[in-house]
Amino acid sequence: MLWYKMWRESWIRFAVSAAALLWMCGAVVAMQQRVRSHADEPMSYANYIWSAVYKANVLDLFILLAIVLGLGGLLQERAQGTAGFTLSLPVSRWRLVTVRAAMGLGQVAALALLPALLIPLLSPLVGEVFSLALALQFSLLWATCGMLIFALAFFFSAVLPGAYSPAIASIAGLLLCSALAGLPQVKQYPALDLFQTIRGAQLSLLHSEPSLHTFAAPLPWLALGVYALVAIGLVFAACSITVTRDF
Amino acid sequence: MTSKLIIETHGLTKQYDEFKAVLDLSLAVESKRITGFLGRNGAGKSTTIKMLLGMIRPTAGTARVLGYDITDPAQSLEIRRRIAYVGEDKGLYGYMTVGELIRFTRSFYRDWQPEIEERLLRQYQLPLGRKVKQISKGMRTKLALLLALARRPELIILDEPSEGLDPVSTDELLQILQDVCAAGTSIFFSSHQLSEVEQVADRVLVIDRGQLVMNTLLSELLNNYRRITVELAVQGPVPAFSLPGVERVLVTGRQVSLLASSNVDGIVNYAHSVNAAVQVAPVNLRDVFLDIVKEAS
Repeated sequence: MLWYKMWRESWIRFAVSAAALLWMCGAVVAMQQRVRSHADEPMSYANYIWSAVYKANVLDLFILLAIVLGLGGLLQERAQGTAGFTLSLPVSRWRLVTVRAAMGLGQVAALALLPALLIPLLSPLVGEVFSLALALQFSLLWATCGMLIFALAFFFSAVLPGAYSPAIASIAGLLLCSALAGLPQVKQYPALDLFQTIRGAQLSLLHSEPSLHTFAAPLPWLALGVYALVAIGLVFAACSITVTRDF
Repeated sequence: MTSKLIIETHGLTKQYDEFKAVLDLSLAVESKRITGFLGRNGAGKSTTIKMLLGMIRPTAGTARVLGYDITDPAQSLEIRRRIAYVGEDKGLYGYMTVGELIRFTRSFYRDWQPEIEERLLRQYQLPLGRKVKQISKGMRTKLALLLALARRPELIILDEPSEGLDPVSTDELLQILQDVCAAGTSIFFSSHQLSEVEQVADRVLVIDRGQLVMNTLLSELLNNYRRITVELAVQGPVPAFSLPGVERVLVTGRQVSLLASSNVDGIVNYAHSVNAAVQVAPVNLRDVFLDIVKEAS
């Protein structure tokens, strides 16, 4: 039933996030003709989808939603006055934290999958094709990088009290990541650039090819592995802090 | 007859930087009794309770609840499995309905008693389909009690249970506590409402500034404690009243107010021997409590 509690606490955020993502993806597909006709240079449909969904607008929304899903936890419960009840249940704090993390990570993965389900499905309605395999590759990038973004917000929620400070700290943390990735010493390791990775920038053939057939570049498995490990580390750190904290 | 100890603390201390919320607290709570844990706001009652429940880690000292060490995570889990807790703010999940919260809580306890749940639901007239955030504070207290009582815990710990309740609900709550204790459950409750402690408690523990300042059976307090007012005949040095049984001494001009826990006759005789007029009056919990905390101030 702990899963039930975590679901009940987060399902509205998840549902609103899913609706917002679906709406944005739907709008991108529906407006493709108008946007592409006003583009400075001819733009393939795949490139348009990448620019609007995976590189910019929808991706920015996804990053914000991953942060929102990471917020909450026992510090938030303390502010709401329910931490006493939760902590009086015969459940270890480790379990409380890990179940919440697992629920959130599952929701982030589900959100990451939504564009892959919707865009290939809607594209034929506007006379275009977007490969499901390609969309799933991007979903994998979103899911793994989204895990890290979620874990960052999750960690700050375990460290910082208040409704807004964990969100602000997460955004600041991401901006710092972005700034660090621009440093010459770090630039030589593209795997360390979270934003390039989540955009699928390494899959650069997409830019030059009008069709999708050459989109077979390997996924950045090393970077994804590193991000997944860092995310697990952040969740572990959040657990350790929560276990020793006074409520 | 000696009762089994259900809560024991030795030198329990909680310090936040320079502030000592609980200081060297050693107390013992007997089973199958109602024990009132009295103190002013900020005296350290909630901190003590939260330490017993594993929500706060003690800075020093040891404590056992039902024989389990509160600082050991596995034993703390066993404590929470076997006791029930009703917090001061009755903070329950507002997004669940009453029925959902009952089902949720039930899933954590193998000893849940559906027949008690049914009986209390009827008795408290709780609206199963209504969201917890939509019910009154009195109803929330009843719901919290139902969640605590529906599994016959060995011990119920309540932190300021009557906080925010109207007099009728408070009276119902105290009746429930007495009924539950009569059925064999030990009750440890904190309060700063003297009248309600006096109404139901068997034993009274008073904490002030994090330290235990009184530990007595209520019946003993009411039967044995007396206020002795001594009016000295002449102005001059006040004789020392360092006699057995004298708990507190307050001197105002020629008047000496004594709180005696025993040896009342001996104290009266001593006062007569220094040519003083003496008045002896019974005391209640309020008198004793105010005496103690005023002295501490």
